[in-house]
Amino acid sequence: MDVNSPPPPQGWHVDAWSVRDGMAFASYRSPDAITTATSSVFIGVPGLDVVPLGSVSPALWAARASFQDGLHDADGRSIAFDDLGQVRELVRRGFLAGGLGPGAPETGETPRGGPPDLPARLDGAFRETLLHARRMEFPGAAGGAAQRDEFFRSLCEPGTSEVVYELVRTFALAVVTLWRHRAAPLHEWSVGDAEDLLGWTGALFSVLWLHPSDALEHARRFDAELDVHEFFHAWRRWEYGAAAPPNALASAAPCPTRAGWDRRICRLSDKLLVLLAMDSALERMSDLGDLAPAILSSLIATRPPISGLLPYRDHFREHLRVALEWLSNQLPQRRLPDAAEQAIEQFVRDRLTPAH
Amino acid sequence: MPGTKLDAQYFGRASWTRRLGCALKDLKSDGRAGPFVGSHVGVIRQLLTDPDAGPRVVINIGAEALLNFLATGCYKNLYEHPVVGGRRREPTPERIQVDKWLSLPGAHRFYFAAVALGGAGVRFYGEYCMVLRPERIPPDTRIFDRDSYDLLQPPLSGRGDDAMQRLAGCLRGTWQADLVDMLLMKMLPRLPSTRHLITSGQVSGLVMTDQEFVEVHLEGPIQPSDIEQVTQLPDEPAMEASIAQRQAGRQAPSAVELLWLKRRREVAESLAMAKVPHGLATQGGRGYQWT
Repeated sequence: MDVNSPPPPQGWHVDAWSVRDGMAFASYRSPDAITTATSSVFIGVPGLDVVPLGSVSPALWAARASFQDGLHDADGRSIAFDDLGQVRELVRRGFLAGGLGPGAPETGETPRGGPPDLPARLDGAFRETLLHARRMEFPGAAGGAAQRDEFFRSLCEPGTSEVVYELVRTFALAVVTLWRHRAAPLHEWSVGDAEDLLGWTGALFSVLWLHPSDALEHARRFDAELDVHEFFHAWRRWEYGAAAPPNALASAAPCPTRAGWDRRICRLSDKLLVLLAMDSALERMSDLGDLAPAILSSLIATRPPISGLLPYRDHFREHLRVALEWLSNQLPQRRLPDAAEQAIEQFVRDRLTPAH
Repeated sequence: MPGTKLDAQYFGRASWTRRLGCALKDLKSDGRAGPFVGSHVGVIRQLLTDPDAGPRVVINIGAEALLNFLATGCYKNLYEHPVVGGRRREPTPERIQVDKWLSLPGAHRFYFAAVALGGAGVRFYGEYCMVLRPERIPPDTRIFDRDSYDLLQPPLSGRGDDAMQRLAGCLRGTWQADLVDMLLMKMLPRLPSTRHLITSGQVSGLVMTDQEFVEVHLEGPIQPSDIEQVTQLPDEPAMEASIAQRQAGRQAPSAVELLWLKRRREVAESLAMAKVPHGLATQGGRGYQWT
């Protein structure tokens, strides 16, 4: 090495990373020599707390186990981070991106299918609703959290919240239609799958302040062959507290697609996770209909502030405010170095590629 | 630069049995032993040689990696993992160096594990601790008295290549012949007071303290049928309960927490389906040992 060349810049570097398990070791050092580290830490889900370590030995050891060896750019250089906040953000978004796709092989893929013209019908229904909406500008990452919070607040305003409600309800009914369109009748489903559907449908009525008869009427636009007894069963289970609150990211709820949507997305939760993992996903949206799946998942994640058995729309607006605040807090919070953003985007794309 | 001078007895070339014998003799002869050391050693030896509740080889693993292992039957080491981001051009110089000192024939065939007596392994490497069946461990399996990457840190570092290789050779042993004496040798300076007999919980803590452990170089592959049981600390179920409590109080869990809960549920289901016993371990390792 030329003795006159400046020493490589110090920064935070990932020493070992278990991306899908949300754990990483990082140290403050030069890019090429891990043993120059002056500080070494561990970060892991669910708390993402920073745990100081006495040496880099645990990080090196982790790379002998199920951790990947550092994080490098396309040229094989270790990516430097400005501070530990950025490293935490990387671990958080990598973990969320790891929830995408078919998941662990034993979980299997969500069955596709459903009415063949569902995307066109969904598109048509969205278009009809959006005729009554003002044009929305989706905030870019450069605008920061303040601009994004302002955007989400604007969705709760009178006039706009009604449009959001219509879009989310339409989308929710399309989800149920697609889900129920499986070949086997419900009594032939596994107990777990049937519980999932009923629990989720019950929650749906609750978060959308929707009565089953109302739901059935609206579902007709998809020519859905929905069973009124199933709907009432789900509703009553929710009403009497028999159904466990659903985990918005655990359900097998399928994701209906609009004409322009990525057809590799199989599960409803995938639509939310893409938004949470990729810094640019929000600004790439074309209209409010694109945001409907994430809003629906957020409504389910936050549940209504009071028992949701009465169809009072005003309560929906309050719940929407809580749900969008939650969504805003889960979206990318920090911009990562470009190479790290590219690595996350590539990981998202890889996760969505169906296994052959 | 010459390395720091090390304890000639511990870092010597004699067998671990001989090193331990000399160390005990010295303790007695210079009066540092105290009346309980002999009894401590007897208790420890009994615990470490118990065929049912004795030491085990453990591997910590995260939820997703465990799910994949159970589903595919394939536990991956570094060389077999897909990578996010670009690939490093070549293995780290540190890895090349340490592997050379360890004289591992074909590093990619080896899986690194740790020795534990109860407990839940090293949490940093994953919340689930896979305990391997004793019959899966060949008697000549190599063990190393510490995390081998400590060779890169002072006071062990800073010697010439040949000296480091000799040093690594001194710290090595094999599972059947050396484990008990190696562990006893490590424990000697940390044995408790001279008024009470050591307990099994204390021994468990001395076998593995935090990330300080005896390293095992296990020749692969490792399969799900090799797992005797999976343990974890009570911390994780406590975290689950805390999240559920917040949820009941109308405080929504974060997306990370929701995904974490989902994975934990999937692991519990997969372990049940694979009929792998799954339990909690106290940190002291008492009451939950391999039963």
